[in-house]
Amino acid sequence: MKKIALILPPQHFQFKEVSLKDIKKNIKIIVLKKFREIFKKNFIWKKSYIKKKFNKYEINTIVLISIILSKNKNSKYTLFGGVSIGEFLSLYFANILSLNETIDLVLRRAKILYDENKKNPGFMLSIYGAPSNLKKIINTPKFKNNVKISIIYSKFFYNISVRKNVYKNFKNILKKKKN
Amino acid sequence: MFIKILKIYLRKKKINFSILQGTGAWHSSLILNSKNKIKKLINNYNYKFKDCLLSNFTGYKHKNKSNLKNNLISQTFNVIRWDKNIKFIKKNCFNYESPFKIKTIQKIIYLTKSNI
Repeated sequence: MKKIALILPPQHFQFKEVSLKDIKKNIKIIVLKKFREIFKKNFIWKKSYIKKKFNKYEINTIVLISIILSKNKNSKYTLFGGVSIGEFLSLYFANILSLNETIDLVLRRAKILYDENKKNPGFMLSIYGAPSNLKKIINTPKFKNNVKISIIYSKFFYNISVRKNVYKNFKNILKKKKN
Repeated sequence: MFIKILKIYLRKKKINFSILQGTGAWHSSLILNSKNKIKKLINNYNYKFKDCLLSNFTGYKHKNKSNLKNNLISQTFNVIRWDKNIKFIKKNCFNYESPFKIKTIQKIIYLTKSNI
């Protein structure tokens, strides 16, 4: 039997390619019902959600979970691999967690991370064509405690976590390297 | 041959960077303050262990149930080794599919290609 892997992309890849219009068009009624249940249970239900005015946090989680629910599982896969949040989604596709548990886990995890991000603001940078001395730049005393490598895709393609307060300095160094 | 070398050189020289929308400083020690909350959350579920899931933290398959839980906690605060994951997939599988747009997956595979 030929082995086939199932790949699940990270959040920002999905976020880029699925527009709010797409969500409204494709979102299933079951998805909305599930969401309402979970939002009510977790006391994070908001009136804005009913009016279909989403904020960033809601959009992220809605995009992810609506995609999970709209796809059927298939037993032909022998391997499951996901990047970042994709690893959590693959728990459902690999039958390790149930649908309800997966939704609950993803939502609760997202809430913890977004709350943490409010206290210590930061974001992820995608760097393609990363300079060879990137690790050296990150390990300088200036950036050591504020910049970290978060995802390694290849030798030239990284995602980097940066605290908001050092972003300008870090950006300038990268721009200098580019020139 | 010359064109190939030129392409590699240009790719190395070119640095493109952009902020990822809707993200925080995740998968790094910058958010270590929330480790206890994530630990509690992940240990809260009943996992039915299956030997078919790749770990972002180690780059290889999860070994057992407790290993799965630990790896899920660790992946939130450590570097994600997708380069190792993709090598494992290429080595062990004939093909790949995704429930998401195939364009998205092709993009990831293309961007990862230089390491294979």
